Amino acid sequence: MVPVYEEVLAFIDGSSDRRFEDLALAVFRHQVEGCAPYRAYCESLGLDPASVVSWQVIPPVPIQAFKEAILSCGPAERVFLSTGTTQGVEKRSRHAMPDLRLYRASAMASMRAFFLPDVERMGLVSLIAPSALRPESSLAQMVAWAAEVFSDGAMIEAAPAGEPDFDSFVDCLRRSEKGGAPLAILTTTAALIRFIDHARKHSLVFRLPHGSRLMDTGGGKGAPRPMSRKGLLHAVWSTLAIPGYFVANEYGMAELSSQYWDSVIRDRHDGVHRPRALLAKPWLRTLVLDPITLEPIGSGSAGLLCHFDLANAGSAMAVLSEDIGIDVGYGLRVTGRAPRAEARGCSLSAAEARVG
Amino acid sequence: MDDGASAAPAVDAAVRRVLTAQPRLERRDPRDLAELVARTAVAWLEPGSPWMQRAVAALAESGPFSRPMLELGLRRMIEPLSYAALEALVRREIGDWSALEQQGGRRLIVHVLPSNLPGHAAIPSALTLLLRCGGLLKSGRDDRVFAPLWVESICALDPEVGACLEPVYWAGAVPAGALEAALAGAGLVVASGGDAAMADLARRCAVAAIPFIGHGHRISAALVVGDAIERRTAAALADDVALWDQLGCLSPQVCFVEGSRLVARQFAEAVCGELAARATALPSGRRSAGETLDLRRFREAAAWRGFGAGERVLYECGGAGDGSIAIEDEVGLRPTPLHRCLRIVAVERVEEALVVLRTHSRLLEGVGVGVGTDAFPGIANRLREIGAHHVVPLGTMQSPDLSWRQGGRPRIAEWCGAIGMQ
Repeated sequence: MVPVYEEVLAFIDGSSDRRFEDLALAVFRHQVEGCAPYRAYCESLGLDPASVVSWQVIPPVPIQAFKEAILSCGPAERVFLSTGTTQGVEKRSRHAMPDLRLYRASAMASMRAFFLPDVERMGLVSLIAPSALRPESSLAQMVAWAAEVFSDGAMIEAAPAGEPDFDSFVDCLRRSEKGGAPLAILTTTAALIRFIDHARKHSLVFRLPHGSRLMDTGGGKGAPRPMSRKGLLHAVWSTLAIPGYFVANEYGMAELSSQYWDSVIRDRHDGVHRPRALLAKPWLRTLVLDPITLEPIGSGSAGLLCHFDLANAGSAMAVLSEDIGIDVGYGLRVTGRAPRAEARGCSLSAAEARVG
Repeated sequence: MDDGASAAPAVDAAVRRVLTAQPRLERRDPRDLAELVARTAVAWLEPGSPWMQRAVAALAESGPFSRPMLELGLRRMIEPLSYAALEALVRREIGDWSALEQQGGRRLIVHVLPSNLPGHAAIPSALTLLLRCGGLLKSGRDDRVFAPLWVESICALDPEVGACLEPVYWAGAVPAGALEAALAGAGLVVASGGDAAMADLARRCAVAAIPFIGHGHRISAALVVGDAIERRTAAALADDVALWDQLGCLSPQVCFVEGSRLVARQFAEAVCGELAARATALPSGRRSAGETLDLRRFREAAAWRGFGAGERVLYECGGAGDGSIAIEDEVGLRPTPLHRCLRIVAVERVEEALVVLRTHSRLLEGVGVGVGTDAFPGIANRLREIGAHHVVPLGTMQSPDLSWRQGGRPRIAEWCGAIGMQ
């Protein structure tokens, strides 16, 4: 049992009165001691860990680090892999977790707060490949836990073989429609777009009971076509009769143990009226950095998102993402990905290559 | 405005001017045209050349390269254009001058120039004149300066010939409007650029039944044999990596070093020192945000591989644009983000490198070789056999003469066939 993990777990379940900064610094020192590659990184910066007295200056590891080194403070209980990005063939990140309880506690608490704040349990259906089939997927694991914690019966696996099975999904939707029990749909954005296209093609329309909701995640990865957020919300309403305020995008990364969630469901529950943004629980904080200088930039300007996730206590707490976003004061908006070089002329560069 | 539609009238007018001027070339002796090209080159290369000064000043202002880089790089672009080299090219590819003296068959050749380096207009336009054809020179995005100046410098020596070349520009390789205007008068299109642009252009030319010669993506490498692992070789490799910030298709991105990983690391250290030394003499140029981030990604990946393995993998030769070297674990030919990023791969035997290079022969353009003088011919022959088109000693990779057959294709013989010359 690692004391700092217990402290983070206590912070997550609300039984600790420690401040984020105290814990972040404790986690940082634990990682310098326990993770050899991270220690080597800090040494390369000439950094004395004792000199770090603020969470904002803890050196973040870039996403590249998860592709090139094992960042774990102990033997891994599980290793999750990223799915890659829309920007080409790359190595996949490997997130080795020495204590899976941190991920579970963080993910379930966030899901409770931002997706299911108003119900204890409800019917769940998943268009995401099951964890048994994709043990390397952190998303699949999160969905498996959600089935245990939030489903009022057995969760319907509508992608039992990995790919969405729209026939069984449609059956599930029809049952909810007829029975009047609201349904929570868990899906990747790509699978959702595919289902919307499928429904249009076959003239399928559903009127799901009020309280039904939908979580989508993963951005445009693997989607058959691009779709704006506005267009997606409209399509979900016209196809499933789930209003936009019950459609929550989850922003997660294989390299993190905590997630950001759309504010809409939580805000509606709390009676708060404000534009949609991504929110996180207090153990996940984010700085917006200038993409070139990596200096923090002011609220309202777009920059590279640098996450500080206490639930990553066993791996790397400070993670510099490749996502561009804006701090809107009460949350984040993700606006895109960090740019890559454009192709110029005939010289083959890594950005253009599909070899090796 | 330079999008396809708005550029179309200017391109159309340029095509008409060339087609009007072109018949006058029939009266010119190709040897005189070669001499004119050579004199133009001298006008650019002589000390204090106003042409060179104007080009360097304008390109330093508008393009991504530093002034010292432009001064050196443009010289390398123009130096091959001597009378002797042109004559040798004619003899090598089409026999003798008389083949160029036949009447008729003169066509407009449209050159779509790549946007990676400036100065690309010099050799294609010179060879076009050698064939007594008119030329339309479509500049790349980052060099809208050189082609107009080059044509102006020919006009200054011989207005009648200069009138047969027209520089044009439109954004992108193949927008509607401008391209149609160019193709309307074309007898041949010769283009260099990315694979996607070349495929698109080839399609458009096929529809218009116009012969097309395209040069797509290419990669170059270096090979250093055990007995040549020394500081002089490291300096030569650094010259090849630094020139044009590695954006040319003859810039080596991967260097195979015969020897152990320790030998590779020692060689990397030496190359890194040489690259650092060039940061002042040959400063790197401006980079886009995407290029800057790609450089950082390259460094991060190598650094973290080192942190993970507990050994040094990354060699930083100053600031990000000054040079970055990664020692690779796998024997392969992975491109870099350019901008003086080099992968060094240790191979036990040269054969291992040859196997990799053969695997990628479709993309392979040049190999710079660091080896003892006696052994060079043997290794060069083997590299040519596996598909390298430009095999030269390290330090001279970026100075190809007219004997370089880009993509393995002849310089002018293929053009002659395409435009119907016997």
